[in-house]
Amino acid sequence: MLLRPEREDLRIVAFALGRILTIVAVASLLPLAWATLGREWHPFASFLMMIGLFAVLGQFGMLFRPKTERLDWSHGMVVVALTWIIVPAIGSIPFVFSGHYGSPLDAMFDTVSGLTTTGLALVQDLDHLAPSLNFWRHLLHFLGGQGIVIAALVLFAGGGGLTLYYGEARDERILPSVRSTARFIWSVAILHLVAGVLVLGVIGHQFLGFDWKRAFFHSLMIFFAAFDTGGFSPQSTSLGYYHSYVFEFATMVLMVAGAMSFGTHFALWRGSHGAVFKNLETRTITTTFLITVGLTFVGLAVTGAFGRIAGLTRQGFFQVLSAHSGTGFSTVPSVELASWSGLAFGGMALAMGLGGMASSTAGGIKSLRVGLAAKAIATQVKQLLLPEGAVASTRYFQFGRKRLTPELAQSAMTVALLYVVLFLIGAGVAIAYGYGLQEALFESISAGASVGLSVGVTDPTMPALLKLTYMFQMWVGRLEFVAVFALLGFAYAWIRGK
Amino acid sequence: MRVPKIPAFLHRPDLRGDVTRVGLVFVYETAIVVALAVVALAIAAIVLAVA
Repeated sequence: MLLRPEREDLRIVAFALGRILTIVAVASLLPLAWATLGREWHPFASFLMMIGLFAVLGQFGMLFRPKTERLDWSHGMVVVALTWIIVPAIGSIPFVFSGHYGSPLDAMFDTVSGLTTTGLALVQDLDHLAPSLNFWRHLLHFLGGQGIVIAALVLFAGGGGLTLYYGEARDERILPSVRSTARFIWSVAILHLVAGVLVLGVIGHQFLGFDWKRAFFHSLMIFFAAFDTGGFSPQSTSLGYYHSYVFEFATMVLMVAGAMSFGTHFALWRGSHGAVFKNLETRTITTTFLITVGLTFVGLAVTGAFGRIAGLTRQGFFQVLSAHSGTGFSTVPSVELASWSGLAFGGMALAMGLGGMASSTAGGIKSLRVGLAAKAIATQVKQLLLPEGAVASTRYFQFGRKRLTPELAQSAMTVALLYVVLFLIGAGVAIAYGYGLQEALFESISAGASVGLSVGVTDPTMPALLKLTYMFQMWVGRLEFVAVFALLGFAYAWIRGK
Repeated sequence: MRVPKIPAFLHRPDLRGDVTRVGLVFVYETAIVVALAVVALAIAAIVLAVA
C-alpha cells in the first residue's frame, strides 16, 4: 500500500528547501554587487527583485520548522529535485528583464542550462549583454557545479546531509563526514579559482593584449565555465573568440580538472598518484578519450576538413576534450561542427555521452559506470567459457581492490541504459519537428549529458516543446535520475496514497 | 605595545608539505593534458599519413 506523505513530511521538505533558498539569496548578492560597481542600474533592479524572492521564499519555508530536522532518503531527494526547479525559475528573472531573451521560457532555458552546467544558450546578442548579467550566467555554473546543496551542507550541518549529498549525484564520501567532504570540495574549487583566474588573466593580458580589467573579467567567466564543465562564454563565438592556443591550453587544464572526480583530486592532493593512475575509472576515461579522438580524427581526415597535423590536432583534440569533459566550449562555429559527419560525428557523440568521472561536475554516463559495465560484459563472456558449475569472479581497482558484484554491475548498466533512453527522447522530439537524425541526436546527447556543444538546433526560434524537452533532459541528466524519480514518487504518493 | 598574533596556521609544520602537494596537483593536471595532446598528435600523424 502506498502511504500518503504526512504534514510533517511536507514541513521537513519546506524547511530544508527554505534553508537552501536562503543560501542562494546570499550568493545572489555577488551579481548585485557587480551591478552596483558597474553602475548597471537596470540589471541591479532585476537582481534585487530576484534576491527578494529567494529570501522571502527561503524565510517562508523556514517558518515550517519540523519536529526533527533529520531528513530521510526520500525527503533529501525531493528537496534536491525541487531546488533544481525553483532556483532556475527565480534565477531567470534578471534575464527576463534584460531584453536579450525572446521569452521568459528562453530565459529559464539558459538558467537551467547554467545551473546544470550544460552550456546550451538561447541568449540573443550575447556580445552586448551587461557584464553583471554575464557574471550571473557564469556564476550559475559555479553554483550548480559545486553544488548549491553542498554549500548548504557546509553552513548547516543538520541531519540528513548524506541524502542531500547523494541527491546531487555525488556518491563519494572522501572524508569521514559529509560536511568535511563538502568543505574539501569547496576548498579544491577555491584553490582552482585563484590559480585559474590568475593564469588565464595573465595570458589574457600578455598574449591577447587585454587590459587588466578585461583580462580579469574574461578569465573569471572562462574559469567558472571550464572548471565546472559548463560551457557558457562571455562571447558568442565561445573559445574561438580568443584565437590563442595558449589560452586554449590553459582552459583545457581546467576542463580536465573539472571532469576529475573529487576522490581523484583528494588522492592527488594527498600525493597518492599511484592509486589514481591504477584506478579503473582513470584507465577507462583515458581509453575512451583516445578512442573518441581517433574516431574524430579519422572522420575529419576522410572529409578533408583538416589537411595538416597541427590543425587537425588543435581543433579535433580541443573539441573532443570539451565534449568528453562535458564542458561544451568550441573553437569552431556550430555550422562547421554540424558538417562533421560520419566518424567525426560518431566520435564526438560518443565522447559527449560517456562523459567525465563520477562525482565530478561533468555529465553523461560517467567513466566509472562505463568501466564497470565493460568489466561486467567481460565477466559474462568468461562465464560462458568456463566449465558448468564454475563461477567467474571479477575484481577491479578503484582506490583499493574491490569485487564486482552483480548488483553493482546491474546498477551501472541500468543508469547507462536510462541515459540512452534520455538521449533518444530528445532526439525523437527533434526528429518529429523535422530536424535531421544526426543533428537531432547530437543536440539531444549534448543536453542530456550536460555538455552544451551545439550544431545549431538550439536557437530562439526552435519549437517551445523542444526547449522544454531539452530543459527536462538537462535537469534529469544532471541529477542522474534518482532524485527526479523520488520527486515523481513523492507526488504520486501524495495523490494516490492512503 | 600589543604585538599582533601570528595566525595559527602559519605555525603548522606540515604547511610547506601542503603547499608543495597542492602545487603538484596543478603539475599533474597540466601533465595529463600534455600527455594526451602528445598521443593525439601521434594519432593525427598516423591518420593523415594513412588517409
